[in-house]
Amino acid sequence: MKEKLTEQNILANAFRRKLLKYSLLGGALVNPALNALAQPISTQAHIVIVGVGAAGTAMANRLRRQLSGNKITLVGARQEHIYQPGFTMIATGLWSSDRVLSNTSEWLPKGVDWVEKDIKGINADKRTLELGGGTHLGYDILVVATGCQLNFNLIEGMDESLIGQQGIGSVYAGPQGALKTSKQIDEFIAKGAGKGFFTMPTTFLKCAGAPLKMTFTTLSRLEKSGKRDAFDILFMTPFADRVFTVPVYNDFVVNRWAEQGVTLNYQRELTGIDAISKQAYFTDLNGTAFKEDYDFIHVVPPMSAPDAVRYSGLAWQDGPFAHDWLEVDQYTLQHRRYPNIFGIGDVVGIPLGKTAASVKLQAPVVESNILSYLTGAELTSKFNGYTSCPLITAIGKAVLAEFGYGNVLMPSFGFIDPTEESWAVWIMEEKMLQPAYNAMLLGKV
Amino acid sequence: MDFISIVTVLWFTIKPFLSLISFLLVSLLLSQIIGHAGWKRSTSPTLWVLSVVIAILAMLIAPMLTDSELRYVLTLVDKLSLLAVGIGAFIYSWLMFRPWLINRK
Repeated sequence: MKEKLTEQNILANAFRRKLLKYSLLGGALVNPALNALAQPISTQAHIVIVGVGAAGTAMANRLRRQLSGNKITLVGARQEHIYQPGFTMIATGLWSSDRVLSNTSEWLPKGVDWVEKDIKGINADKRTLELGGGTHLGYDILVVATGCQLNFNLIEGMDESLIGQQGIGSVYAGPQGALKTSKQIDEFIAKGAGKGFFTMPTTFLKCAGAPLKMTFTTLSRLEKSGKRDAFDILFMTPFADRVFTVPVYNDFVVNRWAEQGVTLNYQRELTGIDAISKQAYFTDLNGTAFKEDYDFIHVVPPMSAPDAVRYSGLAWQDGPFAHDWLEVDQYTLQHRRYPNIFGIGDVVGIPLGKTAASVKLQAPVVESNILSYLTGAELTSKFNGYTSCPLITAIGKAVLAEFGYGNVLMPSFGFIDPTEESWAVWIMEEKMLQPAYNAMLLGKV
Repeated sequence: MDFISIVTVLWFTIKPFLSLISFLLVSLLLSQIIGHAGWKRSTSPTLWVLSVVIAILAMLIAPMLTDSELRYVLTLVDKLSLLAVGIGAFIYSWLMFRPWLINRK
């Protein structure tokens, strides 16, 4: 039935039109990013993601879903995808090294080009990447997700190839390095007595709980051997008063180690190793060096962004992250000087967030902010510093450490106490973390 | 973590075990079909004892299957999880063996 055009109807229609107009306008103002997420945005912008690890892969999947009509290029040479949170389980002797390996290609979405090369440099002013051999790749928006670089060479006499020899181990040195570390721990225990050192660098590091976990799991193995009392276990931290950033977890670890007979030495940075004579050199805050004989040493290398990022002019110029880490706003994860560049994962210079779980929270923030940037809207999505690590306190139990900026505890599950040791948390680490990680890679969570 | 994310993670967790879950369900179904016991017959005490024994064994073995130990079942959530394992094992074994352990007279 045709609507009769009366004065009342005209007024009502005008009111409806106004209401619709203001609703749309209001919605757009309240959360433009949310609106942008509702349907794929058509754009011509060429987005380049550098890094084919957890962060790069998650971003490729998310952005491909949200954008249409544009080119997305992923840059990175690594053919194997490595589930890094599993390294602790390998170094503890529980997992085989192939359990953390898969093919990079199986995680990539259709419609994303993969350039199987590592970058040599970034020219942010010209908006190009240097790929080596005179090849360059241009971009409109760049997502830096390269992960971090292990600088074993900054420890005098240390080389990554020494891992697995002369009592030297490091959980950070890839799946094979973690496996060799486990074998070195086995040999250390088989000796029946000895001195084991666990170290930590002064730099920011990925999975900052790993050095602690390695100490706890080695203690578990020693206790299981029945010869714990014959071994001296020493933890060397370069810091004056801590082994972990968050006070509640720091206190827990320090007290537990006191009960377990671990000698905790503050202000001891590993600065040199003589692998042949099995001697380690530690330096305190005054620069005084101390020589220690060891039977086993767990080396945690100093870390930084990869050189290609550090020397590209994109690193922080001053402050605690200066010259080592990508300069981004800690909330929006947008580069502070180049608004068309975003960072995610271990490479970024922010106070917390160098875990795979952090990437899970960072990915939707970067995604949302890139969409806002493309539409010219304000970047409203913010990363809260979420960092999570099932802190293994023995083989078979763990504490679900979850925190954010300001060291505020951020428990995901109301029914799990973030300060209690638990078998259920161990199951999460052992059985559920990898599936959650896989879902994150595909951009499903 | 929102509900959808939890369900997604659970789905990704059980995905590798889908064949095992299918095998257990098919076994259960076959047991019911082949046993054709009906639901009106009374069960023998052996069924209850067997199911309880299996439930207890499952509770004892579960920590070991996860590379842990029974002494690390510490919190209320841990204890409820272990209890859930026991209840699940009890129900499954009761249903599985019921067709074969009923009073057929």
